[in-house]
Amino acid sequence: MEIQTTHTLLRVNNLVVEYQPRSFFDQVKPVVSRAVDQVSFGVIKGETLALVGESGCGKTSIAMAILGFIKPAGGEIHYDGVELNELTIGKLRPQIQPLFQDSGSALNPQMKIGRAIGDGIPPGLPAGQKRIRVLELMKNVGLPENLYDAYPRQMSGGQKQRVCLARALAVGAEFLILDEPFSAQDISIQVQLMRLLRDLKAALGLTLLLISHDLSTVRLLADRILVMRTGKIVESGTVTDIISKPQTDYACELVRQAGIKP
Amino acid sequence: MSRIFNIVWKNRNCRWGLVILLPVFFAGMAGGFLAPIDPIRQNLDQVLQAPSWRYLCGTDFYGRDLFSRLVNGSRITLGLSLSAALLAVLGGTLLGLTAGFLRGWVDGIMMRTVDVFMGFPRLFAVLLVAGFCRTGFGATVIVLALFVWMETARLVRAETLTIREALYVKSATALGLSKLRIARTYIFPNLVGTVITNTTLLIGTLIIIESSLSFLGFGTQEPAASWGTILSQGRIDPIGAWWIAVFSGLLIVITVIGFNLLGDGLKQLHDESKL
Repeated sequence: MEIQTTHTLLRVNNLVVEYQPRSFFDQVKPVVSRAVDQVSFGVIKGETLALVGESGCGKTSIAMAILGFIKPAGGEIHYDGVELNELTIGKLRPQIQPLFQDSGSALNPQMKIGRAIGDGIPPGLPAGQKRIRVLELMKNVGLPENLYDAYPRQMSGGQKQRVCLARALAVGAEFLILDEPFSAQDISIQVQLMRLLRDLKAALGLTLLLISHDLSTVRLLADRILVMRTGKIVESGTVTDIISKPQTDYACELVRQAGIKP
Repeated sequence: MSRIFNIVWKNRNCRWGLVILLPVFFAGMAGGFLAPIDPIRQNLDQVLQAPSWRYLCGTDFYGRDLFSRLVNGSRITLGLSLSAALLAVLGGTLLGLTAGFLRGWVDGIMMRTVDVFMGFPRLFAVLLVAGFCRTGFGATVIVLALFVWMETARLVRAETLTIREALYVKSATALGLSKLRIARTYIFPNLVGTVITNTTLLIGTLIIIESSLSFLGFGTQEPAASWGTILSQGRIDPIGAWWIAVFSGLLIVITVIGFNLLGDGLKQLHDESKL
């Protein structure tokens, strides 16, 4: 008999993210903007949790706080039982990898693709084996070998997103934060990338935090959905729950905008 | 290499810049082949000869052939300016990159140092250094570099501040790469275009500064000739011996224009992401 365990890989408790005024005139009359307001949730190992809401609702701020790029004004983030802070983030970082909306900007324009992916591979591997490993990763994400020596400017948006994915796999990531990874792609590329992510997740046991404003793409990948508005979680549930029985007016509006029939 | 040359040659500013600069460089390298008369040989029978077929640019107060002195002077002037530019750019880039990338107290100390250097009257500083040190090639290069390294440091710092916020730097940070590796392989390669552009513009500025220092008697010393020392001789009799000031002055102006055109062109190419 198979034993099902639910292990919470990421836990966010009462997270608060605030942006301080930066210009001189803002400091004369300080207005601190609170992007994330006391948000708590957990991500179970192996699941895909989606954060859905309109632009500016605080989804990306949560992602940046998890990645350690923003220092939270309050609350805690635990990854695999370890609190993420300045001391622990360095060791835990490779396990948590982002995939950004603008994949072109996520790649060093002066670095060839083979090297960009190879940068993710932990040091110590001889150059020959490193190249073999990079080519293997390129194959896994559906990139042709001849792109090994290409620069990002010579590739399409979908190919660049695959490079970012290969780099995340190279470093041995367990947890991927996907920040609107499909919205800059056309429909056919979106479908291909979603299939690829679904297959890789199944094969490698990845855990995904999917950030999107679009319920129609989210429902194809996510297991659970958190609906966010003005820095707060206003509704949560399984994909079926949110789509067929939305509890708040805001969730109803999102379902309607996505053109989904329950 | 030929691909880069083709890209550079296709840009109008770069092309004109190279058209001006390449002959100056080749003249400097050809030296004695192009101007066979010894540039420091005095001939008191031929003092202040106007330009002629024998003396293309005339002669100076000691009967020395001005064309030979200008050709040889290009080696000294360009050698000094290029060496000083290289030193200033190396130092300025290293400091600017470190300050912009590390921020915090490192940035504070480095940028206040830049402020001190910028606030200090530079001509006075040069006179001070020149008063205490023996003037020679090395000392002049250091003095020239001290004149200009701050601009490079500030420019590189500003550029680094922008690049460190780029998504590809965030992605590299997320990979767990060390700060040194990120600075070396993610930030520096993206600064190269700006640094090259800045260097060419800096060389133009340094030619003027070197000429001014030599004019004041603190750069290259007689009998060696840089364009500045030749120009300074021109002030003795600017009407009667007009050719001394006119030819050396023209050469300085044209070369500076050449470097500025090349710098502008390289900047355009960099902004269009062609370099």
